[in-house]
Amino acid sequence: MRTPESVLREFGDALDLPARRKVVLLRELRADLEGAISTLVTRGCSPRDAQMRALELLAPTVAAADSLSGLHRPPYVGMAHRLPGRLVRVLEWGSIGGLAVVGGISPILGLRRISDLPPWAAGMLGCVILMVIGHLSWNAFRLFVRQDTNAAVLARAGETQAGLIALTLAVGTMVVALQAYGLFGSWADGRSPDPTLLVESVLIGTATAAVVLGTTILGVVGAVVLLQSFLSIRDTERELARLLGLLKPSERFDADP
Amino acid sequence: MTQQSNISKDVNELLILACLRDGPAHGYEIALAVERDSRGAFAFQHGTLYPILHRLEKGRLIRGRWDEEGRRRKIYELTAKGSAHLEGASKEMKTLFLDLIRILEGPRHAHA
Repeated sequence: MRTPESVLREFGDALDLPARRKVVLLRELRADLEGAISTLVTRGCSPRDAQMRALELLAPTVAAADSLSGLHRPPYVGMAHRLPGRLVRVLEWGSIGGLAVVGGISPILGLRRISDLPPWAAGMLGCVILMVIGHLSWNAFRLFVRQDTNAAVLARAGETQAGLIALTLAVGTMVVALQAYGLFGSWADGRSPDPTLLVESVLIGTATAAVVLGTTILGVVGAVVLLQSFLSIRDTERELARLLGLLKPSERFDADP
Repeated sequence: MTQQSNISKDVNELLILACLRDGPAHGYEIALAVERDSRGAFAFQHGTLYPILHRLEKGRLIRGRWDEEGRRRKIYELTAKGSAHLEGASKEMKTLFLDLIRILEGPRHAHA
């Protein structure tokens, strides 16, 4: 026999929406089911008949849930569904490799000036950095779209922050290494530092420091947003679980919120 | 067939708007009122009410808000736009059904 809890669970499963929007619809259905049962009992129905009648009247079919999902689905969810999975996978693995490469070659880069890099190496470095930034942005977007505490999504969101920090560290290492070369490279040869080289090092160092600072701010702000999102999503998920009767018996259908 | 679906859709929307003309109501109150007032001729079975309610809300023909007294329940009310739509669509529907009845009753009845 169908119960309000089972109907709410079925409805929750049928809704293809972010958790926050699901909660609003489930909350409305749950309150209406309670109201209808209570009204029908007042009109003389037995509690059992009132429940059956209320469910018959209000429990949405899969078609109704689809229709509601269509009405409430944010446009960006459709966009996330349309992106090809294989491309995303390639981006993910590519960016993980890219992070390793950036982290690994940055000290080596310190032994040379960036302008000394052959074009193919500079191009490769640029591609790797673009890939990493693309991957990080994609993860942030996915967390925003999914809005749930699914372990994989959270792990990827954490990876986003780790990625930003790794990028910061990698670029920071490059700055230190380049400056060390510019300032001390010629001293090691027993000559005084070349002023042109010194100015160039300072310029490169300043520009790179700006990138490091920007990335750090982005990383810190991102981490705060991630924490806030996590807390907000956790509250939403708890309400969803309560609405679906997945928590303790005291928090089931008949208990007050 | 499309015309039939449209009529059914319009009737369902008008039933909800007409119900809200008497004052704000919760979703379940609308469903029960429509069934009671039409003596069972019209009923929103299997949650068909919700997509219509939400479509009307999106079209700003009705406004939904959360009633904070006691348990949180969503309550709907008619907007000025909804009221105007109800008036216009009711007249169109009346004309349509009078034409239908005239055809169903045949020419003799029409001239009687």
